[in-house]
Amino acid sequence: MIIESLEILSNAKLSPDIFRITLTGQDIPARVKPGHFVQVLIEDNSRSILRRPFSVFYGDGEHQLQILYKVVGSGTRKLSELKPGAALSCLGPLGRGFSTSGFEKIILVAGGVGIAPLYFLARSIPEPTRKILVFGARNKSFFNGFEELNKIFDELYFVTDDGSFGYEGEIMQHFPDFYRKHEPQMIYACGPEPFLEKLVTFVRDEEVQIEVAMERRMACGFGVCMSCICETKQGIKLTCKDGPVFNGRDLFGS
Amino acid sequence: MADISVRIKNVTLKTPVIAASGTFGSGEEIAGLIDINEIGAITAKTVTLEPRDGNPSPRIFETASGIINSIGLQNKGIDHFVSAVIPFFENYEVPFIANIAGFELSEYAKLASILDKYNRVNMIELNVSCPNVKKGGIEFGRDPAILRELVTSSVAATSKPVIVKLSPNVTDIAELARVAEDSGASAISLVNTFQALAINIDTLKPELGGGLGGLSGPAIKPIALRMVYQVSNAVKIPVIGMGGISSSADAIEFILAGATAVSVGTANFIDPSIAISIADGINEYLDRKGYVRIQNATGKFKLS
Repeated sequence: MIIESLEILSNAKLSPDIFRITLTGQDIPARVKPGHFVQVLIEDNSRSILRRPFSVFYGDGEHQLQILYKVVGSGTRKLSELKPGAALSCLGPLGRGFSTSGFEKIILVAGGVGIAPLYFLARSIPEPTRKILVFGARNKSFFNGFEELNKIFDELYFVTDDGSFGYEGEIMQHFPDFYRKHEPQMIYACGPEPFLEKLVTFVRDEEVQIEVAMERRMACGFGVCMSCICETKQGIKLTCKDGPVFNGRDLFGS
Repeated sequence: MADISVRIKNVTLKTPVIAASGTFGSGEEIAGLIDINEIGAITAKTVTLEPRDGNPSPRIFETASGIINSIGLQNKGIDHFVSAVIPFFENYEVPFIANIAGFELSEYAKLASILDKYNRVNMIELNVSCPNVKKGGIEFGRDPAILRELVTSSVAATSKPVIVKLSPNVTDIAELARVAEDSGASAISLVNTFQALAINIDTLKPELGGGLGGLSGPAIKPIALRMVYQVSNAVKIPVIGMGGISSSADAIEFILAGATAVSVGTANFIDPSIAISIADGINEYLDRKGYVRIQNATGKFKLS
């Protein structure tokens, strides 16, 4: 990992509390892989002194890196106010990324901002793998700014709590149908933990492999503070170092 | 270029900036980012006799200019420490401070005597902020009589310099410092975290899985500094000052207050190389003031 000051190229508001920031630099953007995260320092903020961990939404492999984030508190609010030209100290790349290999068919399941690491993953997986996306959110406005998803995925399913777009209800009310229709070899998922638990429970006795990207509060992000623990079948693990990507079946009890 | 090396008993540190326990790992994680040999000393994460899982999540909660932590001393126990952590430090020359904790008085001397055998361990720091399980869970470091017995037995168990890391959750920290000095400590380090609480107003549960936690970070610096000043004027042995240091100006305040060396903790999470930049900043300050050695600045501040 390294510490690098990245420059903000753009900080776009996609919907009421969802932003996509584009950063440029020499080193970290070239090193990030799908599933990695970076620890971002938001300066002049006595309310939150620690760096903030964000999944990499996209890295072009050269100079550009994008982060998708939701404004949830003082740190992210401050981040959303930063302008192009400003510098952002980033520490990374961090974490264990997704494993990829030549699957015939994969389903990516995103709950809300869980789309972030999955988007990078999808962009990095080439043909001929067939990629299906199940994308759930509170309402239609969340999907603003994701218009080009139909160029990346072979099939798209949207689910909204209020039915304002796509299927109505929770992802897991509809996922079983999508799953049976497509019979993928691999599932990648990211989103609220209760949803991930339901998903892993659903596929537990199936053949399909499943990886989930987890989230935990972090102080350091690089394996030192012991804050970000995740209970797994192999014992207590650190989300920043042993994850954030885990084999889904290692999590969530028996 | 001033001389910023300092000595604690027979151990020379090339800079007065130490990495505090629980904030630097074993250096393995950070080795790619900085040259570990440039740090004054590294304090290992607290080791206990038995392995510990630590507290349930959440283990940290951010507050204004600080964090409350309730990690719960997660560690793999002394056996793993001597078989894996100590050998790892054979890769480096940096002075290495082991930090030990017990839940019964006898465990401190036991740990000290085990570590006494390992040449690579340069000093042993006693974490006395643990709950004394046999006395209702009150911190060892709060009771002068218990602290006296704890330090005396630990010092007797090893020929290595023993540093006593004081708990600040006391009425008169200078009193505890004098007890530690009388009992044979080679140095005092302070402060450990301040006992703290955060409440979630929606769930009415504590924000931390462990309930109470310890506050650290810039928020505690003014109090830590006051305590370091008081302790430095109460004992003759070296004082290692810590609590919210995140810049060389912070560190210099502690040195002027009387600290022989300083320890940096929470700031390492934000910038793992900060111990090095703080040392550089101390050097620049000494040059600017015309001091040739850091000892020219140590304790130069007096309230009256």
